[in-house]
Amino acid sequence: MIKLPSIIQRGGVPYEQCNQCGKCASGCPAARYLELKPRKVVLMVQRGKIDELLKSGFIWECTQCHQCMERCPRDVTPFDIIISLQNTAVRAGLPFPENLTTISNSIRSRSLVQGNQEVFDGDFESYDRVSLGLPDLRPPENMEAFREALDKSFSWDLS
Amino acid sequence: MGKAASVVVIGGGIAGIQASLDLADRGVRVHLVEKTPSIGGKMALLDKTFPTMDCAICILAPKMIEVYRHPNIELLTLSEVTHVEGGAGDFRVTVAKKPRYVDESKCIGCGVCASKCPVRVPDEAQMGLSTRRAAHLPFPQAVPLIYSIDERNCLYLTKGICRVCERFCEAGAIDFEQKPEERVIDAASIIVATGLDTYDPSPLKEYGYRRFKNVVTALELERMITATGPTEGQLLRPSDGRHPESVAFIQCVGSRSLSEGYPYCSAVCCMHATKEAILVREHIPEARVTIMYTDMRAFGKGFREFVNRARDEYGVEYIRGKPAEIREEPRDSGLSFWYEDTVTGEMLQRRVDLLVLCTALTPSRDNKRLAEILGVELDEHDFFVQPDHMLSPLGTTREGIFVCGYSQGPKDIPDTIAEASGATAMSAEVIRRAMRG
Amino acid sequence: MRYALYLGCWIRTELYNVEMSTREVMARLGVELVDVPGFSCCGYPLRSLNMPTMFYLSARNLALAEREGLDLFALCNGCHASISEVKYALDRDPDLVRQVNENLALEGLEYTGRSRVMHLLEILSGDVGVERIRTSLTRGLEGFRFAPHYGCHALRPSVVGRPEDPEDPKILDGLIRALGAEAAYYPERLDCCGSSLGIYDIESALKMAGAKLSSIKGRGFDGMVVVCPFCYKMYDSRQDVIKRVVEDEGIEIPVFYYTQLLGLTMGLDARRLGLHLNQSPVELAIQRMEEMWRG
Repeated sequence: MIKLPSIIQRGGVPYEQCNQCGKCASGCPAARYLELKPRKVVLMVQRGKIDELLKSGFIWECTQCHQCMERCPRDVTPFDIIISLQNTAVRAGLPFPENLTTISNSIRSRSLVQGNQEVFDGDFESYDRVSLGLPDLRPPENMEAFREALDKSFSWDLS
Repeated sequence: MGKAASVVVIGGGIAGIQASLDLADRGVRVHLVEKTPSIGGKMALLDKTFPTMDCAICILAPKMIEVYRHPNIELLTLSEVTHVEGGAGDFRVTVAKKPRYVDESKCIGCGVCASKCPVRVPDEAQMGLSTRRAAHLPFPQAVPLIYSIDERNCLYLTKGICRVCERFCEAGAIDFEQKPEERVIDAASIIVATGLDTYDPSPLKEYGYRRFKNVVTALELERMITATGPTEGQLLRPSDGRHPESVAFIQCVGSRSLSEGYPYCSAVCCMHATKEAILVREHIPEARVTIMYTDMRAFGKGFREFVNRARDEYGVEYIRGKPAEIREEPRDSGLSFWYEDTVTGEMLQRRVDLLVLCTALTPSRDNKRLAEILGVELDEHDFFVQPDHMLSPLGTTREGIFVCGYSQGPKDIPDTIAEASGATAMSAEVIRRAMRG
Repeated sequence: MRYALYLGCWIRTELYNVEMSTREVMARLGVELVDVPGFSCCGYPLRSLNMPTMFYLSARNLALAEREGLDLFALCNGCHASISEVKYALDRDPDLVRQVNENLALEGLEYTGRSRVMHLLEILSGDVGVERIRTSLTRGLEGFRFAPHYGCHALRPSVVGRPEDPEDPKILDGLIRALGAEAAYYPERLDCCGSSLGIYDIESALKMAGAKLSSIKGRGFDGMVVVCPFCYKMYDSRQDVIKRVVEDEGIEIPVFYYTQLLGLTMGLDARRLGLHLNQSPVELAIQRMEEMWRG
């Protein structure tokens, strides 16, 4: 049995309890439009096909809606398994969506996923925080310490 | 046979009935204690039984009447065991009898009292789908066929007014002066046969029970389809009273669950769903009937053949999948759900007129109280514990007290009857020893 | 009632109208919003990259609020969910708290669990209450019918405590009714907006959102009400693209963040609520409202 971390189930996801009823897949929005089926992911984990999962494209199709873990009658949290596989794929240097790197770099440099944007109304007039009278909000006072703490979290083991 | 040849049987369902008859036929004096006004239990509420498709009450009623007429059986309805002393071979069982408020020697079962009674309450025997009166007979084939007055809802007994039933009863059988009684019965052994209750799936809100009109439980469907049910055998959608053109069953609702509900398998739902699916197809030949299952547990004699018949002769559709969320279409109260067909991997959507939830079946809710009185152990789900489950599956943790039927563990009617006869044999052995020494 | 306003990322850097309308209405409902410097992303978008990083970022924002002696007031389902989940774990595991505090110490912060994170729905239905909302209205939305879109993270995972019941949510409905409008059940109401998928596969996310919009279209709603910037961005900012992707040009659904609608009924000017920045056809709905109010 491999330990798959879960924030809510601190002992790890009890994937062996899955009896393949398929309730998770039935409620999964990604399953309707794409290939991902939480049930199948759990089955493959039960059978030790981790490598295949890490290299699959479908582990990235999760919408993070949490329906699978909310409704599972066996206390399995397929969502945590999928996230865990995603994290492992990243660590192993396997292909993953580029947007994640963009977001991560932005957070490192300015503590937010993006910088202040210019927005437009129906007449193509542009606005920003200042012109809309919104207060100037400050980033972390010690960005270096922030970055250090952020980088350290990459080597945390929360299992 | 003497004082030793006496047994108390607790529970008047098929298990208790069978055990009582088996013992009585062998000359043992049986005191059958039943907490409701009539024996029959859950089997009396079914339409048909699987896999034979026998009419349930038709095969049960003769046994019920035999119990009533048997010279060796004392039937104590509206009664409960309140205290037990002694040990195997020599128990002293205190039985409290609630007043029926109807004189059993005078009532002829004509029903005028009920027709005049102004009180209407949900009818438990119809799973709450219709109403009964305070003065009532639990169901038409009740044994004893004697009316009783529900003291919690009777206007006279709660508020001191009315008494209309008394005015119209030509047999003069209404007796509001009746009081609770108590007796101590000597018995060599006790047989527990308290049967089953149903799980209310309301907490599983994703299935829409009690939120959407056309979502019902399996036992409710049974009443909706049976001739003595609230719609007299016409299967009608609760929302608009029309025949459903499509029906889906969802299995394992609250069973095999490590979260909400119970972890065990209720043993009979795969089969009773198959039976009910056949009944729906018989009543409404154009209806599309689908059973959404996780595993098809057809392990008994004739079970697999029964399922095959449902599939091949009656066109029942079996899909291995479990819906996650039931949605109601406000315009016609139809129900829809997405599902994965786990065998093919396809993701599909289905719309039905009526949805049936096959819920978990649990031991009787009164088992906790009874177990304390009897001094026996229950497991965490309220089934009676066997110290040696392998070699003595009908024993309890107290010598001389035996268990049979669903209260021992999930099982169907034939296995229940077999266990009842088994408990009979074990009781007989206790009696034999007591008589000898 | 005093809270640390936690905007997360998108509201702060792009969806200004959500912030504007919230500041306007809260001031009039007696809720003081404090801007605590140093708030960062809650970490939710990084979960797929490295879950412990999300864990750290959520804990960090709680610690910042704690230092001010305030609870967090989140306007985003995603932020509220990730912070709630992290708090749930921390409050049950002192070893975890120690591990987190080692990292927090680098910024001079500490987590002891004193601060909670509140959702807009909780503040409005609890602290403020439907009655107070009703009395603060100067005009009502009688005759209007809105589709409440709760958003997945207001509903799940229920074990950590969410503002709405996961299968039968009612609070947003009640808040819409407090404005005099009708809020109705519709079968797709629990469906996901698809936003999180948008980070990886925008086309599928748009299809997902489009399916819901198409269904709503046929049900006689005057608009959709959301309480999350992710959902808002998907249904409002991307509605034009969605129409093309799902080939349904008939989709014309005004999308409001709840505080915008509340602000309108409190008599506030549409521009102060940032409604000129909504990209869904809100002008049509507002025109109808103003006609009705003119009498």
